[in-house]
Amino acid sequence: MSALAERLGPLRCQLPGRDTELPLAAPESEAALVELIQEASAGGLKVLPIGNGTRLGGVFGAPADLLLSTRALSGVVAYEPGDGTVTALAGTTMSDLAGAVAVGGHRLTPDVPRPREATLGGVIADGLSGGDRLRFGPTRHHVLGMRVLSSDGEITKTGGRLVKNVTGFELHRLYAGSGGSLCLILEASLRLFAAPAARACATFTCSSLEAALDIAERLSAPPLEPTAVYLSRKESSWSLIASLDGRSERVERERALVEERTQGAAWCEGADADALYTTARDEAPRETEASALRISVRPSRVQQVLHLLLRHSPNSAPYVHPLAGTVEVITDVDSALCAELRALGASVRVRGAADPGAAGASALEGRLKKAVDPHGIFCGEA
Amino acid sequence: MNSLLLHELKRIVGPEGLTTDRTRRQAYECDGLALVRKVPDLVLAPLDTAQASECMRLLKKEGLPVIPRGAGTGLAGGATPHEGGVVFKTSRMRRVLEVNERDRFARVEAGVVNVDLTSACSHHGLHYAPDPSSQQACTIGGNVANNSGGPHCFRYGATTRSILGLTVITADGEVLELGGPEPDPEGLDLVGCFVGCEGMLGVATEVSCRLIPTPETTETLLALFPSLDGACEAVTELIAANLEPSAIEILDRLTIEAVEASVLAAGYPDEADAVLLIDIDGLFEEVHGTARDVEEIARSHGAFDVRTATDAKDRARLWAGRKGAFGAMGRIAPDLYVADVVVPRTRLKEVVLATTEICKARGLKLSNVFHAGDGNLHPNISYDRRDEEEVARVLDAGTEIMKKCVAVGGSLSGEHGIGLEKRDEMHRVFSEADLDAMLRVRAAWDPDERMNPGKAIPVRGCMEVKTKPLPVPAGGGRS
Repeated sequence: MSALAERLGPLRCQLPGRDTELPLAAPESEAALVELIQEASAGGLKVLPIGNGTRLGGVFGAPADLLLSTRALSGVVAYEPGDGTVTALAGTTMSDLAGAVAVGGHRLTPDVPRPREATLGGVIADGLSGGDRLRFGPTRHHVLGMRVLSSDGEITKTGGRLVKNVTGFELHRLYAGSGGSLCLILEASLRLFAAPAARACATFTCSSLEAALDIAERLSAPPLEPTAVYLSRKESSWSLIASLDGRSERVERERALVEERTQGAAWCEGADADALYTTARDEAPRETEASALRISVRPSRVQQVLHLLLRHSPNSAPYVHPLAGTVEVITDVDSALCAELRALGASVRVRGAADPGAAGASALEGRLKKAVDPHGIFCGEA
Repeated sequence: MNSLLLHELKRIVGPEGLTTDRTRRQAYECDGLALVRKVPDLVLAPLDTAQASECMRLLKKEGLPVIPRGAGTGLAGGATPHEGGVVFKTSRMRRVLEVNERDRFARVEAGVVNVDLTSACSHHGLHYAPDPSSQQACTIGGNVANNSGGPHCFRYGATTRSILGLTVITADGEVLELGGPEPDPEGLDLVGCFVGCEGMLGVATEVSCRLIPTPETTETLLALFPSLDGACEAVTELIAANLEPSAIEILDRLTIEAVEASVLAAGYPDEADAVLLIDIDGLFEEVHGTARDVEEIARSHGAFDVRTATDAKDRARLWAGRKGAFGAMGRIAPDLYVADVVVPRTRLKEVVLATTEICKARGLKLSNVFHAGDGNLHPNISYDRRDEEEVARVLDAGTEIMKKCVAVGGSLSGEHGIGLEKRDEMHRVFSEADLDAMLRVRAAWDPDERMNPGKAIPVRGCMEVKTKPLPVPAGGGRS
């Protein structure tokens, strides 16, 4: 450990749930990364792969000996607008990537909170999706392929750069959302979508949660298809923001549908709508030292989940994608709350605290971990 | 086969779930890849998950290879039986267990036919998006195993994007509940890992499928081109212009002639060398706007006419012609080799041209009908399998087409899978280390490698992962 630690330099990082700071390495080449991994494997060290370290709440108390960041490995590897795909190194920030593909008239999905801070590899490994999953689906659906580094220092490829491809097992689906517990993502390819020509945002200020969810329900009925719907608590009221975008004729028609079905919308368009959309997106809670929950539940049960959370923490301010079925909230975490949420069928990821009711990895997950990380060095969130 | 085992299996599945008679077993000697045949020792058809699990436990005790099978419509030999193996078919599991309108999902048994799922939920204003050409026969379980595609995958994605959860029976007979209706299940994405496994990780017995609202309107355009080149160029520009129809298909002249001479005659014009068949769906205003843009691009690449389906019946007729095209090819020759390759969408014209030359040089009759919007080509070669010399030329052409696709950044399969047909071509795309990574994952699910052995991943002499060399059925695999 000491020889390796010396070479890692002065960078340190505080991991939630750990008393001491851990050494952090951010190699500037793949060769250096491979070397570090090989040394860590040989020395039996536990490695936590990270991007910019903005989502460390899920690795509370992880038994890491060192953190390995891909943030210095950044840049677009391939972007051919006519193919509608982009391939980039893991450390590329989501905002840089979005900027690169905007040149060809594309939008980057997922549109995650604070994209200047989040890296491509970190987002994919974390399984993080943006509010735009309502229309485009979760991040894992848009990952076309990857190159990854395994604990034996080998770089392997899965999938490719094609929008349609069933050649070989889709191991990238296994790696996406694996939280750095299986391997280290070096590079990924994503499918792109058309950048919207127009955007309009409707804001509803509601006196009760029920009123806000009633509006959300009205927005979910076909043929309306909002790109994102955000619900958040503002002191004594609830704010619901619906973002409509696409071709201008689509946005105009969807706006008319919203006005038919609801009352009290405050509208903005163009640059104002872009700004509001961005603000709403970036209100997602940061993962800090505070304990928090990331909850995923079928949309029809969002209301029950919110009632449970508010009963448990009356002053909490959940950040909700009600139609996509995801909730993030900073709150005290106890086993009763987690058990009640899970009894509703919700999947619960505890951040910044130990998970009091985690089922643990299944036998199959254990075998997969052993198969993909034979040296058992990666200690990310499984 | 061990008579005690047969007795036990019969007790579980009943006489109708067990096929021992050789004549009846012969019906399972191949799937859509008729070039490779092997009569299975036994065909098992459990009625539900419990029966499937119990059967699998018995098969494990005997160490028998298991070949999962849906409707047998696969085209890559994924369901070709294995020496001494048991075909494990899901076609008796046909119940739609739940349609959840509010959360837009359905839970079905694996043997439900693809088109029957949409029928079961259409009165809720919902449909299931993946629509392989064989959707009148293929099963949801088979679609899961192959990560099947179809024309409308251009917008809605292949099967994997529509699968929320699975009940899987492992080679040990263990019942796994993977994923579910929640958007992001806890733990690893085992559903994503399983879809497209070609029956090598287990057998899915129940599937939770995402449903999507039926669009307010759909407009179907038929653009007529004087050349296949012009149609390919138009598609490349449609993609570059970021237009988002729901399906973009190309049919060439030989395909048009075959369809028009068949019972599925769709009214495709005989004056065109190629047609683009395009669906655009969504809101009225958006659809009309996109259709105008599509027409403009088609005409700028030489389309001499762009027709719009007049009503739902007209639209259905145009699509029935497209989906029945493979069957219609039977008019050209007794057998059809349906190649399935995928290329970057900027390279369509180049690869289609190369494909034509490859077949021409070998004196083969080629027709093209393919998912142009996804870059997913289906060069179809008509032949007679009784002519061994012609079969050799067909297989050689198939290999050359694959090589060309890989050379331009494409891959071996867009939607049919690897199966037996392309197993030994995998090294063109993946390194030894890449293939070993797949084998390690496979071993985690099925340590004894009894699930669909010998498919999709080449067996190599030297690798880190222990694997049992398996005999290749006669005629299977190409060097």
